[in-house]
Amino acid sequence: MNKGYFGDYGGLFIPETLSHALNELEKLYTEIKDDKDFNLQLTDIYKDYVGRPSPLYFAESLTKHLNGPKIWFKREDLNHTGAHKINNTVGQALLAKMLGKKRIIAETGAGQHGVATATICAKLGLECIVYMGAKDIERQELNVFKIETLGASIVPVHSGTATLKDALNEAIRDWVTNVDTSHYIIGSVTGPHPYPTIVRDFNAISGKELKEQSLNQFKALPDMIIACVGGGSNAMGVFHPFIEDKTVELIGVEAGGKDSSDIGGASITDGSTGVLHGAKTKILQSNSGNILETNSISAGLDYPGVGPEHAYLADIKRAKYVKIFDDEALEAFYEISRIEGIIPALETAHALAYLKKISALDKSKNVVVNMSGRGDKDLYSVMKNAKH
Amino acid sequence: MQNTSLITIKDNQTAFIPYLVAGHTSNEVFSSALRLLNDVGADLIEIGIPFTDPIAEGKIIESAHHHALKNDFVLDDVCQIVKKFRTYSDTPVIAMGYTNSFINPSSELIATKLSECGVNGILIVDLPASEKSIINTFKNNQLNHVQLIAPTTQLNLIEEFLENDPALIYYITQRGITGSNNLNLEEISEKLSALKKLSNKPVITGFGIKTVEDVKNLKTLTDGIVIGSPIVEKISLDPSLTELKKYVEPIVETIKA
Ligand SMILES: Cc1ncc(COP(=O)(O)O)c(C=O)c1O
Repeated sequence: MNKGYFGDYGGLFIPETLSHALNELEKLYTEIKDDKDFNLQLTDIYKDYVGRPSPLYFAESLTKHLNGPKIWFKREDLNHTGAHKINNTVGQALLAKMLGKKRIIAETGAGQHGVATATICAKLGLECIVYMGAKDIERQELNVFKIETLGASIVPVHSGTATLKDALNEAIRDWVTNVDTSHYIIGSVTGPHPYPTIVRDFNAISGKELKEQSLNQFKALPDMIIACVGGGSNAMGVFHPFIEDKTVELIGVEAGGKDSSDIGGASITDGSTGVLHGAKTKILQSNSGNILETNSISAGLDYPGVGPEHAYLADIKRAKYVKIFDDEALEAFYEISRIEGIIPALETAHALAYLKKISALDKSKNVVVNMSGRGDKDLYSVMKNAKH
Repeated sequence: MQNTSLITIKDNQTAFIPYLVAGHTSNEVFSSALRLLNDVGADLIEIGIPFTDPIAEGKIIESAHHHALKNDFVLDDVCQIVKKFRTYSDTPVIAMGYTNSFINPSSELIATKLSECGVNGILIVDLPASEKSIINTFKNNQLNHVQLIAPTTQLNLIEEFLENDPALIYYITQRGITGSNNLNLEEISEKLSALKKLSNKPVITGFGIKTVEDVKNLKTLTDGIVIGSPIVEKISLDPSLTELKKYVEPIVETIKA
């Protein structure tokens, strides 16, 4: 396999100004990823600050209700800041410190990655600038306030679709300009090499824990793991340690938007091969290669691309990708809240909605849903929509 | 094979290389701007192919890309306009843009189209040196390869880029996007002479060059000066192109003096 490629996907499709910074990042990461001191530091933060390991919870009431396989939740929603995103930001912030960079740039869609970045920057004393689409600022008000409370600055992005895609463009432009002093903490397994690998590895803590927990708690590997896929970081994190375990079925759930005529965020299910934000991957595009405007009830899945390694896993059929529509996700959002007393993020609700489609599985099977985040951040927009 | 060279290196002469965005602010305005820039003495013209996500562009050029796309820009229109341009001018033209616009539906098809209508070269902002098959597809259609080099590009990567045998090297003056302004003449001069030692191809310079003063400072250092954002801005502000003419005339005069 070519360096930085997963099959045909990945690579470094970037303005040339950034190639040196990406090479430096790759070099440092290769040097320290197995370094004892680095990993001790990281483990410490994971344990006492993030609150890891996150539990593997048996969703007994839901299992009874659906009358199918046993359902388990990997509780990334219980992490500090309420989602899996912090697994990546703490790792990358430590890398930035080692690179001698004190200014951090991030993009955010749902605001979770912005919050997770602002959080670790506050702790480590790093300056933090978060780019966010104007449309997302509106629908994720609470996270905007959180990011500012944590001492970071938010830069609203009005161009293009004014969502995650354009926030990413703006973050890259900032990085091109301030490359000598700044580190860019990308929020998913997307972007140019080495980001898809780095973000995957930091998120893989959840998959590694899950492996141990499932062997302890149900004496077997899961039969199926389900995770939502925006850029694909929570899914890749929980899938990756199981890729060689061929009995474990891996399901990535993309956002379908309103209905089958809509352009949701289902880059693998509905997209084709192209180049976006530094990587060759599956993207939603027009015939002339322009990027389509996507629609999803969940800001974190409202993105026309996907991590290149997911495109590869889909090609080799190691993982299966499906889509869930807005209504189905919203129904799961309410249902899981009422049945389990856990309010999921709208992104996660897409993964949960897929459970309805697998109730025919044998009752002895163990199915794990990666609970990528909690729903607090979405309550306001769900409430506003409910009043319509 | 690649065509002849895009610009030739002549003693004491620097090429004037304007950049404009295809289909901006309309096909008619674009076509007239092309003629105007040719007539005032452009030595090479860069045509930006509009893309939804032009990550190396500042606000001015990004807006022009989006504006052209809103007007339902299609590549066939550019081809028509360049064909018409070829009836009265043989000034070389290169298409500049982003990888995704040059591989969809296929690089073969885009290369054939561009070449047939009279485009002479391509500059793909985000194409890595390793994508040799894409570069060769364009070369095989008589489209010269132009390579960007940044102030941060390390020697080993410069060598890798040079192995792809570009017809022209485009040195980016600064760490930044188009339209930003922090020219560091000392660094530019150092990097340009280093590049000259590595390659005998012409080296042109762009990003952040705006004023007559900038042009005066740079013209002895480089084989060509690219001006983008100020030109695109004048076209946006005044589609009658009076402002554009007023702006470029003293620039060209300074370059050619
Ligand atoms: C809770 C939650 N889940 C999932 C996602 C989607 O991102 P990814 O696919 O990278 O996990 C987001 C993104 O903001 C999120 O906040």
